Amino acid sequence: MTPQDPSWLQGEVGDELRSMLESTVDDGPTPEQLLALQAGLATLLVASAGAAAGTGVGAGAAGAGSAAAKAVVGGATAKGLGAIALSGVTKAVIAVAVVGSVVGGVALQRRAQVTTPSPGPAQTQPAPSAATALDPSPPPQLVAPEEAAATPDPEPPPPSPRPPPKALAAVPPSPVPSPPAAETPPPPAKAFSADAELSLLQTAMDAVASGHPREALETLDSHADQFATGGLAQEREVLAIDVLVSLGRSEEAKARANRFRAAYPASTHLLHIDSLVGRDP
Amino acid sequence: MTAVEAPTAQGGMAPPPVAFADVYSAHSVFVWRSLRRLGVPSTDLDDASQETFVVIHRRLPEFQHRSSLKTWVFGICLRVASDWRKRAHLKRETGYDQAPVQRTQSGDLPTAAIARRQARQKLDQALDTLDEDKRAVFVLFELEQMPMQEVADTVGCPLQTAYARLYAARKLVTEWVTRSLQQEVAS
Repeated sequence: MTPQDPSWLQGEVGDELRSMLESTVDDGPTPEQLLALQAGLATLLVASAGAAAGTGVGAGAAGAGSAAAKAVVGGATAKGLGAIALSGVTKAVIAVAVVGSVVGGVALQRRAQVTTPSPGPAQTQPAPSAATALDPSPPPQLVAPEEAAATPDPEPPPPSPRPPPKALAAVPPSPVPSPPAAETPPPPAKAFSADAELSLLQTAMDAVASGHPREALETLDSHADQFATGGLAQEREVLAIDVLVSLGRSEEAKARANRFRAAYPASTHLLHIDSLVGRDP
Repeated sequence: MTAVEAPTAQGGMAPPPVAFADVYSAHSVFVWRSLRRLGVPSTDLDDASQETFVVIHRRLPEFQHRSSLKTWVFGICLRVASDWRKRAHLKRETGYDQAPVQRTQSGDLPTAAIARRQARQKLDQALDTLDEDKRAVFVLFELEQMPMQEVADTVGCPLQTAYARLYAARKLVTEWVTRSLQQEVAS
């Protein structure tokens, strides 16, 4: 008998066994659970990306000593790279967590709208009111409604089966003396601009939460101009797509989602984006 | 000979260092569902997944490309799940999740969802009759649908041993189902 031989799944017992095996299709995490996990691991994920960027500049800076690092917080000079990177990491962690909860909250709100028939006219026409309905303090961990998440797949696909190493760590942390220069060295600007980058994103999130989606979009556009490839570029795009959908601008949302998919094919945000705009074949 | 010519690094194609973020992107769903299938209660999966990735992060520099990354990751899942189950036994009698039945991701009707939930709980109980070695082989082959050679590599045993474990696991699971069906008829 070969392992593929299905004879052990015959008869009444076999039917029962088969239904038991098939019941595992929902074993994977929901998009919300995945988002929460990612938020929980933000420190490590951001540090991973930050470490990669650091090696391109001069790995010595980060190890310059915590006393020195503390002393130059706020003084954005090249010598302070270690400190800036540190505070950048801290901020980015917060940002990822906040984006996670805000975005999750938006998604939940929208699902509630879709399943509730009452709002009447809002269903047929683009509803700018969608964003105003935002709960300013959405639950950071989404537990109860997890299985209501209406992804059509029986099992959420992995974020990417074979990811090009691109998503979160833009640069492989390669201490090896130059394997034939594959890519240009990373822009060190990333570490310096983390604070400004975050605060701009925070402004956009605040605008969403206070019911000003259009202002949020403007802020996000400005963020995209200044930090096109910043450390929070993915979070910016997710928020922008979410806002576009809430404004009923679904074509723009889809176009932006497609660009995101092309730029970050391995991103764990893709599950959420797919749930927002649907997946193009 | 310089230090650069170390055989592992320069033997034709040097294995690229693996970034933690990439491991996360590629395997977060796999880790989650593997822990579930290895017996971590579904209410604990967030914590257990996080713990797994913390271990992965710590040990990633040791990853030598001797196996596939997925295989290596599963090895860590095995240990985390094993520890988790031992701890759970100390904490409470049953580790099965008590959450109410809800609509599933696939949007099934509640009755279908309930039936699936019950089937899933039965599978948990049947799998709990297996020892860790057999359970790992059964999960990888029957649920993850990994080729048998890869299964053997993942659990670190010869191919024939993996076959033996699979057949033994199937037998035990089948016996469990037979017993449970008889009990249903009797009651």
